[in-house]
Amino acid sequence: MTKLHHKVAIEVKNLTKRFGDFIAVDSLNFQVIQGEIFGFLGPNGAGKSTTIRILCGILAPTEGSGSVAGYDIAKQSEDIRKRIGYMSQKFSLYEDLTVWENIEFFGGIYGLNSLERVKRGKLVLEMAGLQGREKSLVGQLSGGWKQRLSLGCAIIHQPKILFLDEPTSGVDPISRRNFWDLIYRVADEGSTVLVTTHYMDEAEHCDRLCLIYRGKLIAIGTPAELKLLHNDDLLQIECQPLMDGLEVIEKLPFVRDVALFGAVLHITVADAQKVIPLIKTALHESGINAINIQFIEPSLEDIFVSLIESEEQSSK
Amino acid sequence: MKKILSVSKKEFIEIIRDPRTLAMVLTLPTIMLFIYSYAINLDLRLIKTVIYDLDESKQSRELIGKFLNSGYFRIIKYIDRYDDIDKYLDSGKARVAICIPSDFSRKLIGGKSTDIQTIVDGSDASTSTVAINYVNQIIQQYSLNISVSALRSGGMNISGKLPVIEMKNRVWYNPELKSVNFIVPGMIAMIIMMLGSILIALSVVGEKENGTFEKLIITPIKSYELVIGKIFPFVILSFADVIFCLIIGRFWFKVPIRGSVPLLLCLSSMFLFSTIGLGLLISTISKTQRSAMMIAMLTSMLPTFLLSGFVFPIESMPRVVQLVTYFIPARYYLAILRGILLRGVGIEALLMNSFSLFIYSLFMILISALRFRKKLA
Repeated sequence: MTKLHHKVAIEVKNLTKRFGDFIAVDSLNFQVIQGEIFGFLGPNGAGKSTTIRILCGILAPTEGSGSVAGYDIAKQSEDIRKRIGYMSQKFSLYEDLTVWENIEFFGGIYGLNSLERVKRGKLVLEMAGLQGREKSLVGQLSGGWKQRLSLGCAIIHQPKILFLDEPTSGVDPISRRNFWDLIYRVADEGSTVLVTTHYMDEAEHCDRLCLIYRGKLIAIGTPAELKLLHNDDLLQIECQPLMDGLEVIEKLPFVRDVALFGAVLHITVADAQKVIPLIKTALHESGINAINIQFIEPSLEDIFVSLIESEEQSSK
Repeated sequence: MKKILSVSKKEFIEIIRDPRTLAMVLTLPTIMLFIYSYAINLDLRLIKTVIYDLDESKQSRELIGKFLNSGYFRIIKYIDRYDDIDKYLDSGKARVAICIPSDFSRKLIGGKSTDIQTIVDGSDASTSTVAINYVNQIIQQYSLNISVSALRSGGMNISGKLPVIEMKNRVWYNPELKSVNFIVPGMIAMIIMMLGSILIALSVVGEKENGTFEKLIITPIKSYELVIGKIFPFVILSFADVIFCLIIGRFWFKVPIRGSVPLLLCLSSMFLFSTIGLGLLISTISKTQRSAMMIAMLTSMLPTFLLSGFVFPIESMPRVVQLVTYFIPARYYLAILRGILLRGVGIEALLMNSFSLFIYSLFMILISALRFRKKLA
């Protein structure tokens, strides 16, 4: 993937962070290319936030090395901080301050002079769609607006790299959609974006993704590349009653995996064409009504579930 | 510099918009000053007194007149039954009862000694001690006068003055022994302590709680810039409050300001820095505003109130507690304040206290800066 003419924005080698006996980050290796939107996926507690904090220079790694925007994370955190923006899952603006006062404040601590502050501030307002609400107290804005303003304040100094730590958690779907439009805009302007999320639909928006689980890197690649990791076929089965169907299918010898996806079942098999009739028969014999059985493209969620499961089995 | 100013500006806006903090800064000093100044009144002005005068002579009235004119006693009732003393003292309507026996004037004229009974309500120990002292003084003075005139009329040939030792008490620095003169300096110390430690700790921990602190850490701002920017508004407010207290003290309570005000402000800043150090230290060990408040109360307000010599004189504390007071910065500051305000002394008389305060604030600022830095990194 990494071609020579691509510039590397972030690189980590054997990055490890231990808290006592607990290994939060376990020898991570990856590169992020300049200008891409890089997704960091994993369940809660997988080590996503810890990794971001190490990259931002808040935490020192126990082992390994890394660079952000060309600066060493262990030795040059000052230089890194000038060139990055950061926004965390926890809403972090000053609620007692107005929209414009927050923008001014963050402009000020990033060292912008008053002219730049006004110029960049106006742009941030426009991006966040908050024109005309400069004088509203931030505490009175709704969650989606706050999130957009928070992002705006994180990019007021035109950072080379933007870190977003679960930026959309707790925000309604429409606001999330708007928020991702903003992220695209930031990336179009040349910033590299590293975003953590556990929403799979958001993962599809990323240029490249890496999946981490228990501090380890499980997979890395574009969404399309990751989907190829799934060698097996995936079938979606709609049946009635659902739970009885699950029990029957689980016992079939050729079924590798069954997972409940809302009101349907996803089953993993080696060769879909061969087994569809067999499944139909089995369900019929148990008196279960098979409404629909079809071959489907695996989603990222399917892939991550299966990757994590195989990881679990191999670590046992 | 730009960054420091940005932080200060933001902090000012936050203080102004937060009614709780604003109330603490503006109204609490006033309220505390007035409540404490009037409530902790250690003087015994106008002790309520009943008189049981069985003699009702010229002499007895003369003595009663002395009590009245002293300005310390208010005679609420002349009673005519001994049992009434019980009634007045039991109900707390009077604190002191003075009984003049029926043969008082007769004995005096006859050149004999006589006695007067004073009954004092001892349930309030400090009041009764002071009351007994006042009664003693007045009676001794009166008795001396009688002796002198008796000697003279008894044919003793005294020309001019009789060689007696007259006690001329002079209370320096606070001649009227007004306790408000002690309380106003104490209040200044309390207010600086409160603004410095509690507000700083609350403000830093508040940022931790709502996640802005984490965001600040990731900006290029340096920890010293953040700290200076953050404490600057509180320093300004504390000085405004000190000046405000001095003005109220001077013009409302008539507390003298005999020494140099610039010196006072200079040494106040030293005390202020020690409390800010404490506030920052508290902010590094507490996770929530609640716990910060509790710790600040326990480590700053309480010792300042109890152990600085503000309310209880250090000399009358047990030995061990006296040793503890050496670790209370307010002890030194209070000595400085009283020195400058009441005694009008200059720095030369306050060297030891100033030096101790200086060492203490240096130590606090260093410790808190180190801990703060470690927390940031």
